[in-house]
Amino acid sequence: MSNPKLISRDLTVKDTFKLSKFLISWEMILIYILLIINIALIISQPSLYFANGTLSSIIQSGMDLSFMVLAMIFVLMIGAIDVSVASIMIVCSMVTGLMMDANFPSFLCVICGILAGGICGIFNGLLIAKLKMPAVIVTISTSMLFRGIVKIILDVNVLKNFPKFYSTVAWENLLGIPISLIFFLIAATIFGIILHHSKFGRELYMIGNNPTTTLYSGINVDGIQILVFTIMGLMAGISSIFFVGRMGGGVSSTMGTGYELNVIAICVLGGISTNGGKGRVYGPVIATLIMAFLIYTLGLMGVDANSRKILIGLILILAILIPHINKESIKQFKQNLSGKSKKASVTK
Amino acid sequence: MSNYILELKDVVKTFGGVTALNNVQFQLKRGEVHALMGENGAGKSTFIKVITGVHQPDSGIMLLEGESITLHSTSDSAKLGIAAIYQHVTAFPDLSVTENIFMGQEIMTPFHTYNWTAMTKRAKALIAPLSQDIDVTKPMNTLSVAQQQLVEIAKALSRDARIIIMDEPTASLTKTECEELYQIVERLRDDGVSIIFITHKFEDMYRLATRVTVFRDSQYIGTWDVDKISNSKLIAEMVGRELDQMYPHKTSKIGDVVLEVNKLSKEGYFKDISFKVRKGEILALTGLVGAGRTEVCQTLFGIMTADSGSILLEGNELTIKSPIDALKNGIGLLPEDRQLQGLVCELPIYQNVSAPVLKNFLKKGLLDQEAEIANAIELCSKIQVKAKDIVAPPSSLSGGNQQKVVFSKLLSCDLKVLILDEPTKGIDVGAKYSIYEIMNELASNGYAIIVVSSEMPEVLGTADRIVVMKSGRVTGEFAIADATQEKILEASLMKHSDTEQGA
Repeated sequence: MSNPKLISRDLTVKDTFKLSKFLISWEMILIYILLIINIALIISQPSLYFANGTLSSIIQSGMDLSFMVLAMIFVLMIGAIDVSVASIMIVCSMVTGLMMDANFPSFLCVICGILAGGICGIFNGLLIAKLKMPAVIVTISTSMLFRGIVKIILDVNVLKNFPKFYSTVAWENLLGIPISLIFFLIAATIFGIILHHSKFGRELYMIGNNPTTTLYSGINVDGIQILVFTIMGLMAGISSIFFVGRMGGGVSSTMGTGYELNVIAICVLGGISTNGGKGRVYGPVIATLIMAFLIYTLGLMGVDANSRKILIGLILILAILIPHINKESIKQFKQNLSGKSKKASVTK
Repeated sequence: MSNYILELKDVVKTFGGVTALNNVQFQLKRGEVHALMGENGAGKSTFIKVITGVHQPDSGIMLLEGESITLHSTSDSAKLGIAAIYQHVTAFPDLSVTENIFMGQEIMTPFHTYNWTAMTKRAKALIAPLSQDIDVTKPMNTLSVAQQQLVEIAKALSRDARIIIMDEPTASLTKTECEELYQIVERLRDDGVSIIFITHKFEDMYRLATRVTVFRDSQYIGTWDVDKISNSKLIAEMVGRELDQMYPHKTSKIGDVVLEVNKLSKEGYFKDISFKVRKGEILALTGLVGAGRTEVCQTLFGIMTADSGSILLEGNELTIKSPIDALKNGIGLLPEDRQLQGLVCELPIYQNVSAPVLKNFLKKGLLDQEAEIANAIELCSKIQVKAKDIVAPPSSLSGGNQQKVVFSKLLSCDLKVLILDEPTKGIDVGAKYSIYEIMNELASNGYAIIVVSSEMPEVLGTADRIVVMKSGRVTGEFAIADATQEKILEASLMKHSDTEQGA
């Protein structure tokens, strides 16, 4: 102000783009991992890898849950979690399937299916934001609730009547690129722009890091929480299209169990912190592909389904561990090793 | 045999490229209270962490009773009788006092189970000389901050600590609690314990210490006998320049009433609070901690809602249900806890500054980050925030600069009334002065300012009018010309029955 003795510092942004930093960013590491898996696949199964349709079917195998991954980024970003997504997805499939059976126009059935997901999401969001219940508890409960409703309505029946385009989007290619991948990349771009360039996205980062300050900044924290869970529900609805399509157009009440954990695992692998406020959209997008390739590759190598789960579990633990390894922790580790021998000098 | 119980020579500690301690010297005599002073960010905290073994110095030596020591962890320093009592007590709030005292050094029975009878007995014996009011079986969170500190002291004594480091222990204590703490510190000193007393308050230093060491900008500046250095010289050493006066000269012109609060009440917090703030005026809301000042501010800002009473802004009655309403009407709050309520410490400064007004930076529906950065740079340079650059996170700043970022955040809104809740809490002398300057400048720019403060000199030095609260009621209102320290104190200590009669 009027004190000339204080020199105001230059606040302009000084950090310019550094290639070395970019190359070791988490997203780049994920790309390396994806490349390594591909190379391993090429070396071990060259004829299969270059065969027509292999790559696209690998990618297609991972696309059904990919839309839930995008919305889960938002949920985790605000420091919450949603383990009811697989159940919501089945609710959506059921709504569409039942309406198809009742001979409604197919576009209406699809829209109602997606909206059903939105309603489930709003329900979660209201309980979490307005009643201040922990997200994990709410969504575990609603997960059982939603799944229970489906089980009662469907019993042991299988819904088989779904719109034709379901299998098209899940299985067909456009110019050699899987249609599901195209949809996923479009959706990912939209989610990326929202998270990284919109007011809403900034508010998600703020809530995830410090909800109190966000409230004090005049931001509608409750409203945003409800909206995030609603988006999650709607995206579970969209996922149901690709899921049912990939499952060959049949839905029973027990399908998709455990999907919620895959979705969360992919987000975490993609660098989204479960504490909220950290991560970017690119990471989980690459992680979605990694997961698809990994499961497929392990299958090709003759690893059975249960061992595959063990391996994927181990890989996830590693993935969560790696970002915690930095200079300080290595130094600490070395000190602990040498510290034991030096203890004597301290206790004299 | 060395004269000093603890001596540090040429200690250097760096974190990455940042030097936190640069050739620091320190000498602690046996049985003395040694004050350690310096602005925030001067390196005091790092210094304690080196002494207690949390951080290992890059170079330099540490001598304990003349013998060189190396510390690898806090358990090493505890074994050598060095204990630290931190500003924010790091206890286990849900465990009992006894459990807290014996955490990590439990007394065992021959069967290797905890010997609670022995521990409770020993805990009682340790606590008794410190305070009569602490029940050792009660959980830690039922105690006041002052009592929790006493428990920490008892814990240090249970480990036969010879050196106790106290990090701003009086920061959140009331006057009487401070006095009790002083007496305990004196008693410890007489028992031969050496004490390093870190503080921002000159009162603490004059009352207790025999010598004072000053750090500035990670450097050792000097050590003096307390009775041989003048107050102004000491401040000059701490801030590195002469402060001609503690409070800047007021320049604002006081205008019409902007905010009027009428009989505002909230069951259990405050009752019948009425006051007015004018344009360009600084109104101080003072009283002891717990008088309900913060709650009144939070009600004006919509964090809490009042049961009855009205809030008028420029004559129009307002309904404020949330901070969104408050900001829309031009009422801004600088919260009491800047790290918890004022800032998102992990996000860049510019994102913090523009947080309440993000919609002003929308271009085609998306955020224009260039404009955000430009706006933040303008506001932050105006009040001289010192940071690496505008994308640095507030967690990398000192307390004073963090507070300035919160100010910038408020300035980015279009406000009429600014409520400042303890704006200089935990901020060093030099930065305090610039906060006062900012307050004055804002007042002359036509803001109506309500400032909550517990520091009497600050209230008298900055305010135009003073409202005193006690137990949720207004017990006095003074124009600055008639206000004296005695009158304010009298009003803030007024008994409840007096208030009833007065009202």
